[in-house]
Amino acid sequence: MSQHLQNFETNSKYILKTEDVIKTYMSGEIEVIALNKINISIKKGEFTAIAGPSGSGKSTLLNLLSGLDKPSSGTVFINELPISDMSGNQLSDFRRDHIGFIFQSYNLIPVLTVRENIEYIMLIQGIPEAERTERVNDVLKDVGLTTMGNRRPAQLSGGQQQRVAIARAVVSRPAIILADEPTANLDSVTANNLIDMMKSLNETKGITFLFSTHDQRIMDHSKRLIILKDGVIDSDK
Amino acid sequence: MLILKIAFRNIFRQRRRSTFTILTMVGGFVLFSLALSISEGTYGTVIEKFTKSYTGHLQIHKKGYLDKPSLYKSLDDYDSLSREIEKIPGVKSWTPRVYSGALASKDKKTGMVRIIGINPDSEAKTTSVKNKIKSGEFLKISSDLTNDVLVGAGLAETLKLKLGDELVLVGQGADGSISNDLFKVRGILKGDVYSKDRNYCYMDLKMAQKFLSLDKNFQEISITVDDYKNADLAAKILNANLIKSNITDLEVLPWPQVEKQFYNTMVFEKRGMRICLIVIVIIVAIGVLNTVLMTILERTTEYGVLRALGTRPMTLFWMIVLESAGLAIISIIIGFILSLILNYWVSIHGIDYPSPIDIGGFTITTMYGLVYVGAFTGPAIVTFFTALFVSVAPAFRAMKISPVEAMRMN
Repeated sequence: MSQHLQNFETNSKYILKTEDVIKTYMSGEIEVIALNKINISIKKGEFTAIAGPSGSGKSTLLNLLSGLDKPSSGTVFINELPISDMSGNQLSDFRRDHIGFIFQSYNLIPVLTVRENIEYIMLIQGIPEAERTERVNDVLKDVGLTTMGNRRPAQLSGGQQQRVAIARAVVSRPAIILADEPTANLDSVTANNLIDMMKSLNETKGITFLFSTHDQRIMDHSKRLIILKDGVIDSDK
Repeated sequence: MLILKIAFRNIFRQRRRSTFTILTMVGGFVLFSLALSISEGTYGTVIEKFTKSYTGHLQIHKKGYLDKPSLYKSLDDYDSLSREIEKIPGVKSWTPRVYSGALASKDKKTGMVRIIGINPDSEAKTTSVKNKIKSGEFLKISSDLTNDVLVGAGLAETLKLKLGDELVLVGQGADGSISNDLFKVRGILKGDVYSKDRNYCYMDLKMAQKFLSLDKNFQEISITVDDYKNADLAAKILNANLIKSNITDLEVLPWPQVEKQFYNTMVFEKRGMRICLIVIVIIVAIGVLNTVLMTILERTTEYGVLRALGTRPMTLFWMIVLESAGLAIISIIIGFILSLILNYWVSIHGIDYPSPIDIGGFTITTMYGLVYVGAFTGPAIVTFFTALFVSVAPAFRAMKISPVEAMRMN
């Protein structure tokens, strides 16, 4: 699995690329265009934010880029592989091996400990136990939760839970981490700390981050800012 | 392994709900086990008592005797048949019998009787007739001819017979002659005017053979084996052995074929029990289904997250099925312990019927349980697979969850 990931990372010019992606959905009998002819590409190591007002299509775009949803037309490529045609299991494996997720409401598995939550993806990837343990220890150090490995999510603060979510996202060494409003539920001090931590992971380990956000602080830290408005790219700097 | 861990920990997540579900399944298990235990115990006891009282476990007759009994359809070589019977595995005892009808009278009262000629020694070893004497004594074991008889309670009531009274029997001998003789009441059997043996009149085999001009012939050999459940096999073996010995005009029948009415009543009673069992299974199924559906509804977001993280739909399916299996296993363990205690208690003390009931002409007053492996394996298998079965559809539903839709519900 790791070998496959390495090949994936070294061979691709772009990690993510969309070609004329359109997403429509029906609201009653009215067809709503959520995204209209989106063309973007994300390179390895980028720290990119997609911003825009509510309803502009940020989350929809993130869902399409992660293979959680399929475009109505157009194509999403990962390492020049179109993901639109993948089956359910292929998409699951694709997300497991190539995408890390950070959600607004953390979404940790409540019955698992911090260590087990972080270990989960590696376990379904089939990574040997010794390697899993080593990686979990490393990432717990990175997110500053070394002493909390055996706690359950309910025993952690919101900020700590989001750190675990970040650890879970980075530990399997995905090609890209998609973060949907990761600071929305956090106070400003915790949010700043987390943004610094993600920035540091990006700079020191070369992890690619793509955010969907309203948070100005994330936008300020981003190397690239894509503004969506009414389902189209308004600006890309 | 982590999937197992998640499934197992999920059981204890909603403790109240899981406890309720486990209680439902345990209740179902215990009722199911008790029903099986009583079914086997009571019916087993009834069958054992019935066969011990009357038929034995298998019988040898001339072919067609049971369909159309006749004094002329008789057996004659008791010794060679005994040698064949000895070869049956598990055989315990056997006894010859003579049957015929006769008219009994005392003073001005008359009644129909069924004469049964028995060998007092071997009959006492084979059936419980000796224990059914209400007053008086069992027939004397003697090489001399005696005119003592044992009479059924119905006959004693009809003819107003007391111990030591004389009664006249008039019948037809095998040679066509009218036979009549004077007999003396040596014992009166237990029972009442509704008992199966109400009109029986037992006498010594040799006396019956003389009375009916049968020489040394008889109509039946009744055999008991170590367990009534082995009657079928024993009958097959003996039949095969008789054919090997060129005895082809006889038939060996196990008790269900000898006493068809009684057997059919038992089968019917057992079918009634099955309906109860189906109801129990439905209760368990509804309990589990309710829990699994509630669980899936409650954890939709979580399943969406797991799918988003790359969990394959089938893994999610197994996670849910394993959780139900875990609930079932816990219930089975608790159910087994409780059932073992309860079934054991019922097997010792029994449960009295409000009033005696009649099964195939045999009266029982108490239900007894039987502690046997099937009373636990049956409910265990049913509980486990019912839980798995009802979790399949909701698990499929969870498999189909769209991660985007599921997480939107958060």
